[in-house]
Amino acid sequence: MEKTELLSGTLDLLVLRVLHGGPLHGFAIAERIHALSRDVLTVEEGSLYPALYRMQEKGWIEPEWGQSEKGRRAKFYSLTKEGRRQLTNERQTWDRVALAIGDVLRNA
Amino acid sequence: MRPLRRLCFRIGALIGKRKLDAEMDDEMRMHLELRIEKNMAAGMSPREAYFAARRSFGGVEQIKERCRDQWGLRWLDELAQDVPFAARMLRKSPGFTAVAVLTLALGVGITSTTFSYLRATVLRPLPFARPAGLVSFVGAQAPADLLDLKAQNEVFAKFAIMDFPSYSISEAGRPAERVSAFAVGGDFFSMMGVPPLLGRVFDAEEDQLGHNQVVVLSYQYWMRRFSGDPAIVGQSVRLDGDPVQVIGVMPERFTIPTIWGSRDIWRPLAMVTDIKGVREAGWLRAVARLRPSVSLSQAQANVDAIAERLGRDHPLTNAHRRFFLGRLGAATPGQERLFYLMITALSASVLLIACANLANLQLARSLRRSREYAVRTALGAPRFRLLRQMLTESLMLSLIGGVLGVMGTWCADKVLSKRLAEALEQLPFLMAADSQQSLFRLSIDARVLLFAFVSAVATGVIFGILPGWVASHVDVNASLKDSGNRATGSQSRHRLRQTLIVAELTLTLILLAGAGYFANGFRKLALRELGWRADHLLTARIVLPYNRYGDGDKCRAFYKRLNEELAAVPGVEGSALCDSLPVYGFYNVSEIAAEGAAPPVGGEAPGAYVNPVTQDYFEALGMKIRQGRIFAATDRYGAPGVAVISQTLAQLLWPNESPLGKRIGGAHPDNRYWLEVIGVVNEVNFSVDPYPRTHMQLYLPLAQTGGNYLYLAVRTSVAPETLAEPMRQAVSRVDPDLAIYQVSSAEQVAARSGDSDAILTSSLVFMAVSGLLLSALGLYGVIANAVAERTSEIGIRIALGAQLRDVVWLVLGQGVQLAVLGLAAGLAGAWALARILGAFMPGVIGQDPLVIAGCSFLLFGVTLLACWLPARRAARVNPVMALRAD
Repeated sequence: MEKTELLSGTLDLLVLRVLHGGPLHGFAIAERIHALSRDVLTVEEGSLYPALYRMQEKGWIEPEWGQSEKGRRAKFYSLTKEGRRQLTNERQTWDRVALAIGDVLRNA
Repeated sequence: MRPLRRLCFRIGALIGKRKLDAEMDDEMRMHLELRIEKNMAAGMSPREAYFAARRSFGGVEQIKERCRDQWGLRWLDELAQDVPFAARMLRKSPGFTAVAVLTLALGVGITSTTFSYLRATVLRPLPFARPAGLVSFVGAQAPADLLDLKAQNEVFAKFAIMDFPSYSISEAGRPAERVSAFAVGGDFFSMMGVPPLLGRVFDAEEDQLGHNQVVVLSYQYWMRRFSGDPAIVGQSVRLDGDPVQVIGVMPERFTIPTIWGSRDIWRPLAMVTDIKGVREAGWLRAVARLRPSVSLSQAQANVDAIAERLGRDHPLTNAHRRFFLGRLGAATPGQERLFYLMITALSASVLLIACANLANLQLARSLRRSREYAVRTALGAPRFRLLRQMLTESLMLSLIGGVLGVMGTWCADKVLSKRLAEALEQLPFLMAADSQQSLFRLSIDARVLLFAFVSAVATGVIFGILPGWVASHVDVNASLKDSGNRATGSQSRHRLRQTLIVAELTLTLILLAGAGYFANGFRKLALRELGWRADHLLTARIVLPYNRYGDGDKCRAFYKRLNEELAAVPGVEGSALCDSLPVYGFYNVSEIAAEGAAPPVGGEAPGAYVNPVTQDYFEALGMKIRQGRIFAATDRYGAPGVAVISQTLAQLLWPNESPLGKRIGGAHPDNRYWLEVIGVVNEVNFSVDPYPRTHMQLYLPLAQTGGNYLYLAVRTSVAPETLAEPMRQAVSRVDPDLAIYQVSSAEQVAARSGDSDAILTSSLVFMAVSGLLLSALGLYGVIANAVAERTSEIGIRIALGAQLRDVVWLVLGQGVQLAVLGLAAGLAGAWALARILGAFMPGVIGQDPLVIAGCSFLLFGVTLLACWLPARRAARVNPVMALRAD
């Protein structure tokens, strides 16, 4: 299994999208992205946590301490209203850019 | 995210820093554990699983660091490093710290004290409702003019006419006492918009004759006379014998001595009908409230139009008469305001000197630390980080200095308030002396604190950061390669430091000269010949109420009776009544001419003070008769008019002949009333009023002129204070309803008026000495630093055979150069200062070569000393050590 670097700027979008399904802790976020990308994308811890703290400071996500499935104390992140709005925006932007890149690659 | 929430978030993060760190640890640890479990589930051994997890995770601390960065926590972290570091650096150089803190404390303390003084006097906010809409007419006005203005204007919402009478007040079982009153129109209280503390105020209804038997007390008078007893409201007291009812008491802040003097009571003006038509003489004042949306200039235009109309209707009196409006509170102290501003400017120059000194200190320090900066830059410190370090140090200095300064201000305020209150007692309009204390209490309020804080921080930051900015331009390579004693590129910094020192010396000389002008001016004032004897002279004021005495026979009978009663008192050598006394100064100036003389060329006739006196006046005052005789009992009412004049007036009017038998009178062309000159006396100088409008004086017999507002002078053979009570009793034997007031010996008055001069002088001297000390310190610092930097050069010179004297001169020369430059600029400034101050106090301050020379010598001497100390150190340089040190 080969590691693929995330495109810059897409980490926020992925985290927001994954959290849209419900609160998750950091490890779970990384794993979910890994799994959903069919093991293609790997999120580095060194990028994940600063991103989580940044999004927290911007008010997109909210932390809450709770019990993990195995009974551990873990910090769960969930989307705020602003985070939901941000997700919609970023998603639209991403769709437009992906479409445009696709067009360029196909027609060049 | 809204800014506020973001801020809260950050602050929360700052406060809970430790907790946050622990949470981050927990979060990361759990992440690691889950990763390890997952690795093991994939078939790794625990050891392998652990290392793989660690590998993929990377450095926990670095991640935490980057997380904190996202929250602006780095800023806090660095601050947490900066503050203790700054404290360490300041502790490490206690000399620098002490000098810098003291410099700041002096600068801040002196300027804040001046500021708090200004706030207590000139800048005092008016305690009235919407004071911006209140205007007053400048100067005294005639009743008919004011009534016309009130009736015809279209710009004033309210208009109150005012007078300043004084009354004898008495109530059952107490001796009569003199009070100063404020007679105001019915609109006055509603215009000022201040409710009474107790009872009620009077209205337009009670401003009518017959309804005006009411009085409102000032807080100060209520406290003094009635000990703050609320039951006085509704009771009756006697004013000049008439019963009136006390209806209310005004609050303490309603009394503002800087505008109208302090008044004890308010009464309805209730103008009598025969006054209403008077246009020839003006003694009333007026305040008005502008209608909303009317500006001061619109109001002035309207008043101008009315003045023009009055000029047409009454050409005899009003042809050239104009009325000037000013904002209330701004119109009166105009001149004084400027004077206070000058004093403030002088005190601010102490702060400026302190600033220059601080900048110099910081420059020298940053120079010494340039190696430290270079090392830190080389290790990767960004420039703004170095600057912030310096800023932190400066701020700490500022705060300590500021706190010390405020403490100094607090002490100075305590001392000044007390002395000011004492000094203010002698002002003629202040009758209730002890009630003044609270009005001129200096206090450190929020604004003074803010002022001190801002000036301290601004000084510290600006003059700490600028040198830092210069110093942080370090060339790392050059600075580190350099041997350490020499800093590269220091030439421009040297010039900057020298410029600062020259500026300091300039300001110091101006300050010294300012203090010197005042000190020497007041000294000369105290030494001048008075022309009358101030010792063994008891004085008082006395008013004969017009409603009981009129202005004729009854008054003259009183003069005579009182004279006889006083003569019978043991210890009294002589007594006199007069219109004004040289103790306080004369009031009335008239234009005087000799009978038959051609009108003076250029139009203006000479002015002379006119003072009606009783016949014993000259002897009681101890004046000298130069020619002829003084008034006698035969110069009574109905006898031919006579006058006694002072020497200068005699010489001016009759330069080469005897004035005796000549006639003198008012200078207007149709004057028919001429007085025969019967004697010539010496000129007198005034104790309280040091710069009279003229030196010429003219005396008339009081018996011929009459007068109700009088001074009483008693020449005593015993200590004058001991006769105060016998004098009071003598007056009440003549008329028990009369009160004398402002009783004091002439020497007391002079001493008290000298008091405020002494306060001013000693404050200025203190400022000047502080300035001198500061600039001496600054100069010393610069020269000592220069010597330290040139140690090896001096070593070489000595090794090559330079004599001790040569080395001393080398260093001294540098300082002398700066001192001479500063002195030259300072002399120009001192000259200008004398001109400006001289305009305010012509009798006291003028160009004073003695003061200038003295101050220059003092400053030069001190600078020499400041340079000599480092010069001596330079001369002791051991060449071998100096050369090896590199």
